[in-house]
Amino acid sequence: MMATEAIKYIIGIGEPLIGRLILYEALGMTYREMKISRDENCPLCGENPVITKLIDDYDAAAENPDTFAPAAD
Amino acid sequence: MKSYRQIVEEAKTEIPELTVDEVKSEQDKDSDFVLLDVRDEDEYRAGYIPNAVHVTRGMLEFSVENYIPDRNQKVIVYCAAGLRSLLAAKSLREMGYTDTISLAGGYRDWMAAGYPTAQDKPMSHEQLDRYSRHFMLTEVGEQGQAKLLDAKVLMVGAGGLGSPAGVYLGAAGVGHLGIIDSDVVELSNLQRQILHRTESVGTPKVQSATTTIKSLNPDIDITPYNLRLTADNVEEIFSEYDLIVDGCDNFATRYLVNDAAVLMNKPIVHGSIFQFEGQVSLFKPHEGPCYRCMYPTPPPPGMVPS
Ligand SMILES: [Zn+2]
Repeated sequence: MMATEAIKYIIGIGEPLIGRLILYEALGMTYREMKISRDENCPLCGENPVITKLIDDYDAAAENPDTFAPAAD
Repeated sequence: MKSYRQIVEEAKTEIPELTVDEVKSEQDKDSDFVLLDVRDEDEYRAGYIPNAVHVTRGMLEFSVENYIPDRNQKVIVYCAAGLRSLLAAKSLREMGYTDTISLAGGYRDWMAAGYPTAQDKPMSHEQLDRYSRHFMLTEVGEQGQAKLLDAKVLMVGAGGLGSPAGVYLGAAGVGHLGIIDSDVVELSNLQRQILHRTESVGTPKVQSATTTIKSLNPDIDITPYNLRLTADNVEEIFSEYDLIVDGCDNFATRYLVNDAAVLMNKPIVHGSIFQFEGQVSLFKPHEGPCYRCMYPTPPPPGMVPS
């Protein structure tokens, strides 16, 4: 599925999965589609981003979610 | 019964024609129209008018909608000398296209006027054979295959998610594949990580992945990165690629990939899997959400996206 999505994007055909999350569950063999939208308060891609450069240590940050986004000035 | 000449004369009364000079000046003005090349594959392969969409006359009714969904779109059709295009423009009218025009004199006059032309990188006999099933899909065709061969895709992770993605991308002929992973192959990986083989146990995953993909398709370039992606190396590596396929297995890398991709404006094919559940999406910075729009910070330690 990832490869198909990549190939579609490169060639520019079909409906890209932008704003849609496909959830696949193998035991029930079901696919669900969930609308996902941009969060205007997203710390990274929102209207007033607080993350404007990479943080230094992602490993340390992953262990401690509080440090995951630099504090807003 | 109508003769060929009668059919052409009839089409001429219905379909407006433009000269190459007129079409060139429309192009220079950036007017809104689609240029449609209806010549055969071999004629198109020898050269075409830049930005033209190619659908052979024979496939026209069958597949033009895939390329030009809007029936009110202005379409300028051309062929070699301006006759087939006249008939094609007429067929389009019958299909409900309202604004079709034929290029008088066709590609021949376009060349004679010294206007710019484009040509896809010629494919070898082996490529024409290898990708022939792609050419049968009108949505892909030779133009689509040329895009795949030109594409630069970075796979983050050569594990459970990266394996099927890498196999398919390589086989499909994505011309430049980068693969990042710092792990070595373990026996317990082999039940799902189909890029790796029993004899590769103990060797770096990127090496094993490169060998597998190369043997599937020697036609592509692969750059292995036997390292862990960090804030220090991510920008240099990402800058070489157009698209990131994120199949990583930890939150630190997932957030790093997301942050770097948004900051550098690179799209991500996102995938994750846990036991029997999988997710896939495409994160295109500023057009749709990013991973942090969904999950601003990672969950408590101990959970693995894998
Ligand atoms: Zn976001």
